[in-house]
Amino acid sequence: MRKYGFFKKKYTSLIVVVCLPLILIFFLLPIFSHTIKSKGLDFFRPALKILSFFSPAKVIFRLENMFSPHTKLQNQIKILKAEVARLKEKDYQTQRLEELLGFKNTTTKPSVAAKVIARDYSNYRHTLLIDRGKNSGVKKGNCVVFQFGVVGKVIEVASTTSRVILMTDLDFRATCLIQRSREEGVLCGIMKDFCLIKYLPAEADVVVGDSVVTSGLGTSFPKGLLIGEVSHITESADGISAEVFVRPLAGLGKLEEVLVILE
Amino acid sequence: MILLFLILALLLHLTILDIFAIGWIKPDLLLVVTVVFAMQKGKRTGLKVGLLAGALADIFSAGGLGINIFILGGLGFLIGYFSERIYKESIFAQSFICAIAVVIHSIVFYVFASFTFNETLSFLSFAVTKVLPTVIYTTVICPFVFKLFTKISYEK
Repeated sequence: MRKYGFFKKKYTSLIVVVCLPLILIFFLLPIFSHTIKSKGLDFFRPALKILSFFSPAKVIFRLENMFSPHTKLQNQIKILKAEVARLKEKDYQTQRLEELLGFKNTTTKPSVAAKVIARDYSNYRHTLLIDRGKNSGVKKGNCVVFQFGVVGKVIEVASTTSRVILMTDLDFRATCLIQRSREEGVLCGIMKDFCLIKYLPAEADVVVGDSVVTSGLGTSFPKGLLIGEVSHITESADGISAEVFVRPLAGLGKLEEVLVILE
Repeated sequence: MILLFLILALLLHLTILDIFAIGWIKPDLLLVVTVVFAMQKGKRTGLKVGLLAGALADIFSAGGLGINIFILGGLGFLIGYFSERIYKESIFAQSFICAIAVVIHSIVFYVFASFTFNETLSFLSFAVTKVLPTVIYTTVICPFVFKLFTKISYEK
């Protein structure tokens, strides 16, 4: 009995550490994963929306104003500068939204503008959390764009928030075309600031600076959306295919608003 | 108290810490909080905090629930277990354990990603461009969180 008690005390924690998470990962969580994540994201949405006010671009803008040279006589100017800064911030936002709207007007497909409220928790994933979800008509697989081109696609949808996988994420894939030569390949994220086009033959007609667009194959992306420009080309290790690196035109790390194409 | 600390760390990590992000890299605050609690309070609290921190990290990360619960829960327990044998007040020990925790977290993530993701990255490239900066950044911030935690604990 004593032996059993010792065994119980020593190994209970170990069983909890190893077995419980494994059971959760493989059996229980896949069933409830979506519901738990949706509820969690919706619960934290208000706090994240408020805190997204401290986005890097906005904070740098405010700091620039705070540390500008000032004297006693400049107090009033400072107040006016603060006002100008506030109005400039509004102006920048309006400009961005107008550009988005301009893009929206060029597409006949229904779309919805969304604000970026957080980035991925993990340093190893490139995803964004946006403030639009099922209630706004967003569905899993919807294409997400910016005024300069493709950003990524929706991979998780809650009632009021959605998660967008960026094209630089390791789990992203889409078919694409070299616009000039119509060579077709598969665009993959490689966790860097650029993407990689795979499965292009070594003799493919591609040069640095070529525009890359979506091919329209698959369900997520309409044909002809701009992805980026070819930044450099190398040969694969086996020598039978070319590895074409593409720099996305949208600054994916600094996005504040995006447009979700609902079809 | 634990949940409040974790939620605060999570919200800071997701929003304000973006200001200090270098590229896509920022310190892993939930991991630091798990390490701090595990070292100060032992394996049971470490396990509890790790599981909770993992659940929060999973909710706010792409993919299914479970991987961070598994990693952070395990790390919380192991660090709590071994911290009974080391001098916890040493900044070097705190930072070293934090660095080891980030490396283990990264390796488990890499193995998991290799099996489930569409694309794979060479381990060397992953280690140099992602793991090393995260280790340095997290290690630098670790002593400050320790100090803050100790201060809060004493005031309590």
